Amino acid sequence: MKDIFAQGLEKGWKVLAAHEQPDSTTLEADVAIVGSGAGGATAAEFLSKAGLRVLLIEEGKLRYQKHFKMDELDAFSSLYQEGTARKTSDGAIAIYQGRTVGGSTTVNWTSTFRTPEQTLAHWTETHGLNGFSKEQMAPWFEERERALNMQKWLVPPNGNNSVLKKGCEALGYSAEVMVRNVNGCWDLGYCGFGCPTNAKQSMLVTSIPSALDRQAVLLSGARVERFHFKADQIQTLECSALDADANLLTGSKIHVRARHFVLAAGAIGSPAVLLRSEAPDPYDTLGKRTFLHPVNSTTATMTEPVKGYEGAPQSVYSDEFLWRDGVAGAAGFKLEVAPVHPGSLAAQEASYGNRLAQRMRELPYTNSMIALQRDGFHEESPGGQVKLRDDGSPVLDYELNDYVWEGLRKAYLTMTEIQFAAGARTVSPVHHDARDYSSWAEARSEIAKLPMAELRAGLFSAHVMGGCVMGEDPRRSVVNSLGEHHQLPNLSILDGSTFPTSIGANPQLSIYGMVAMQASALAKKLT
Amino acid sequence: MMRSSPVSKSSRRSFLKAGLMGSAALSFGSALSVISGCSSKPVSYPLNASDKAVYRFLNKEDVSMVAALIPVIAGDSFPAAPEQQRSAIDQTLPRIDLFLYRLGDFNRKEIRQLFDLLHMRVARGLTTGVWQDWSEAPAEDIAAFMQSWKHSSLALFNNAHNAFTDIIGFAWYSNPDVSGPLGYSGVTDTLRAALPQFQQT
Ligand SMILES: Cc1cc2nc3c(=O)[nH]c(=O)nc-3n(C[C@H](O)[C@H](O)[C@H](O)COP(=O)(O)OP(=O)(O)OC[C@H]3O[C@@H](n4cnc5c(N)ncnc54)[C@H](O)[C@@H]3O)c2cc1C
Ligand code: SF4
Repeated sequence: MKDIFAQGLEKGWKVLAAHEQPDSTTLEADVAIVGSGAGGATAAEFLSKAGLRVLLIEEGKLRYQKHFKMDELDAFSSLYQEGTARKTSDGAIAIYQGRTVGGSTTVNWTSTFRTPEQTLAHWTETHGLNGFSKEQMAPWFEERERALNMQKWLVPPNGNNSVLKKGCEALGYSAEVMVRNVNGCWDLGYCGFGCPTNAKQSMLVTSIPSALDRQAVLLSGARVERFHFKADQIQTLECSALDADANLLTGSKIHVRARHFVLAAGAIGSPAVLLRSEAPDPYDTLGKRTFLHPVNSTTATMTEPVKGYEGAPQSVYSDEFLWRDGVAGAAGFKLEVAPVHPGSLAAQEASYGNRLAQRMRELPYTNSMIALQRDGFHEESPGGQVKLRDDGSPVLDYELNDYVWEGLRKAYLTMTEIQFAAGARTVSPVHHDARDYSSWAEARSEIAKLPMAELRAGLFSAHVMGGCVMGEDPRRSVVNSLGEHHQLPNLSILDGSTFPTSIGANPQLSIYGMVAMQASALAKKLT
Repeated sequence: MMRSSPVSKSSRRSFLKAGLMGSAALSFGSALSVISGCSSKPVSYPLNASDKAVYRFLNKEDVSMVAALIPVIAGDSFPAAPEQQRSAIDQTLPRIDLFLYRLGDFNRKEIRQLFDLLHMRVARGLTTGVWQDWSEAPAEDIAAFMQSWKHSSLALFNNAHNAFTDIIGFAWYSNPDVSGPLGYSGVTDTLRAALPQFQQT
């Protein structure tokens, strides 16, 4: 089996680790890109194809196939922001984002959707974006779908996904098969740990190699602290070097000079760099409108084993409730399942002792259903705000109001109904005050009584979006439709932080397609 | 998924204050129902000098506290035989240590504060109802304070409860020796033979 990254290193790719550079090293490039995830890597591919000298800077460590040993604890603690302990400031919503070369794409679950047409239309009408009509975006999505081998998943869904399919069919709800970005997938189910076979067409094995083949330089283990300005021009950026594990600061600095800078540190990460830089923010828009697709979940014990840890983690979805009350109406949600690995299941239960042990004995029978709330489309869904802690690290304030709670309760009910319709023996919402219910009738009356409150409902997000939002009106946005910063002419922001609302679908292809379009425009401008 | 962040910023400086203030309202005590079900005899966990080198986050007091918490979190998935108990804890402590070590600067500091607070006898007694050394605390008492933290009206305690159950529960059940018998496939022999990363030493 060939490991594309190992081979590239052998043939001489320029890959630097920050801790190996002397203190106060200065690097130079035409374009310096901050962050190597969906946005940064796509930008690197397009800009290096145009002949520009690209430097790709990543805070996380370079980990690739040889490190991906399907070990939940090692993977979670090394590949994710804050070792998977990132949360909203009140602790109510757990936040998962990648922190490694390839960013969140190295750990994502390969589920692929184009930006829904409702979302594109809303952005055009309500946020005044140019170039984002369905027709204008289609060629960019097509190009990325080809480049990343995005295809409908033809293997039968695993047991966990089958529960969603079966339950929806029994109730007459829609249930569709997903598109995935894989090539020769072994159907193992470990996408969230770093794909052990390189089948997942993440940035690590696609756009990053493509850029490195064109003389791009990758610098890992370097945390970008801030930009330094001269008038409205960014002159340099300053990085702190991290140790070989990309964990502790070494105390050394690296400085980078470039003609143009691209910020692609992801939602939370990109606004944080600008906040630390004290970048101009005349209309107080920076860090605001950060969206999460807040997720709640219900855990079912099925009568037959479903082995939610084996097989493509997500292959079936239902959009039955996503747009039902209109784009700007009541909260809508997308239904999917989450892979069921033992450590994650134990942690999400917020339980312990014999009760947890009993749940864990049912591991092979456990189905985990999730609902992703579409946030940002309604005036009562303004999103959260990124702030800096005293030590300069970012944290997200995200208020859960009645609008969201209503959507979450509806989702608890809907998922429970679907699980019972698929033959569940018991269902338990992931909520501190819930227990195992043994019938839909019982669940329905009990869920109606559950307090919808912070730290009672178990909530998470793996889709952080916004915080440097796009718009043509500088009073309401940070960048324009091409990702160009309204106040800083040599800065573009090319990642998921520019979405003016959440997507209403898993966001990776929305980022790839949008950044392909924006980076192509930038390449033209710079060459 | 993980929900292991400790105490949030707003509550950080007030940890001690909240802990002490909150104590009146949080009537802890051994009268609470025994939910852990494990033996009330604590697993005493003296740290050998040679063990110290293994840990990058945990100190001696942490080890004794975490070793007392593991059986409570594990419940009846914790082995019954004393020699197996010792080895179960031996395996789990370095996993917890690695996890905490990699939490990032901010969380590491938060957890350090929480742990240090719980090592101070009076603060520990007031916030948990556990007055004796961790190594002598009955499992029932530990289970009781976990339960009251879970249902406390103070977010601070909810968060601390979640941090303990998340981190220790995650480290315990993600161990292939624990998850294998539950039916988890993990790295099969076929994969071990087929994938290059398992052939390297
Ligand atoms: C567990 C999980 C599963 C997911 N599953 C799916 C899925 O199935 N389908 C889908 O469409 N989407 C999925 N997503 C979401 C998707 O992967 C992300 O939305 C997408 O990768 C975001 O792209 P981005 O470029 O905005 O940020 P990221 O991909 O997160 O990249 C940002 C990078 O910037 C780095 N960075 C941050 N700050 C700095 C700094 N100061 N200096 C240097 N570097 C920095 C980060 O370490 C990171 O590597 C999933 C996400 C997760 C976490
Ligand atoms: S299912 Fe397995 S082989 Fe397929 S992409 Fe995910 S981790 Fe890779």
